[in-house]
Amino acid sequence: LIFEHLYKEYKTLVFNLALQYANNVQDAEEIMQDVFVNIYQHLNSFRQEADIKTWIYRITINQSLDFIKKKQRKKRSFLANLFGIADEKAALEISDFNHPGVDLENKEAIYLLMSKIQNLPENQKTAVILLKIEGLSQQEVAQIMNLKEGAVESLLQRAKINLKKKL
Amino acid sequence: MEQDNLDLLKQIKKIAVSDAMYPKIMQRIERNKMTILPMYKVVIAASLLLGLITTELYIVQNRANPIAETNKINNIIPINDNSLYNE
Repeated sequence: LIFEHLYKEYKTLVFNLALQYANNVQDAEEIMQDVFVNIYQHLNSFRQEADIKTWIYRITINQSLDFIKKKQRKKRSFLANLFGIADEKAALEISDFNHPGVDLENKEAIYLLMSKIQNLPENQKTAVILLKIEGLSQQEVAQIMNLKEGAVESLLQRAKINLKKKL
Repeated sequence: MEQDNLDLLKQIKKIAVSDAMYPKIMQRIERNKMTILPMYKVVIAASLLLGLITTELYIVQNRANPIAETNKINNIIPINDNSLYNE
């Protein structure tokens, strides 16, 4: 009953956050399944003093990053088998961009931006997604990422510099 | 310029979750439950295995005993000559 309540309360948050990392519905659904299975298994060990929303955010972020890493590893080994060398750049590209939250008129611009965000270091990528797409405050992001607010600001600035170089 | 680009991300809309997701998640949870053996079942299986090994050892031990008995008789009546019966 608690699990069902949690699912109803946080399903949209988990799915949309996973979608910002995966950039396609199929992968986001797979990540979402992993997240809720994880929540179900660890519900008893959840410490009540922590905010459940923060906990769910953390699980979703970790699960999404793990999923992407696994997918890139698979892609890299596939490319290595095919061409004999590992093509790092090709492995990091978003090959299947299918984000239903993006309007057709902005699709190309957002695809370009998202593919650059994908290549950022994990913590910079998370800071951009949480601040700019999820619209969370720096304080909320700091709590989720277990950082000080100043560190979150610094991550965002570094992400902007990196994106400027890439764009 | 990059500020404008990042502001573009605010136009990404939230998407509703498909109703089919919940049954899928519950199915996965049930499947996981079936693959994880409860501790009491592991203890029962280990006890049964131990019992079987003990019984087997006991039986083997008992089968070995008639040979020991024959050896005892041979010790009581030693045959000291090496002559063949029909020599």
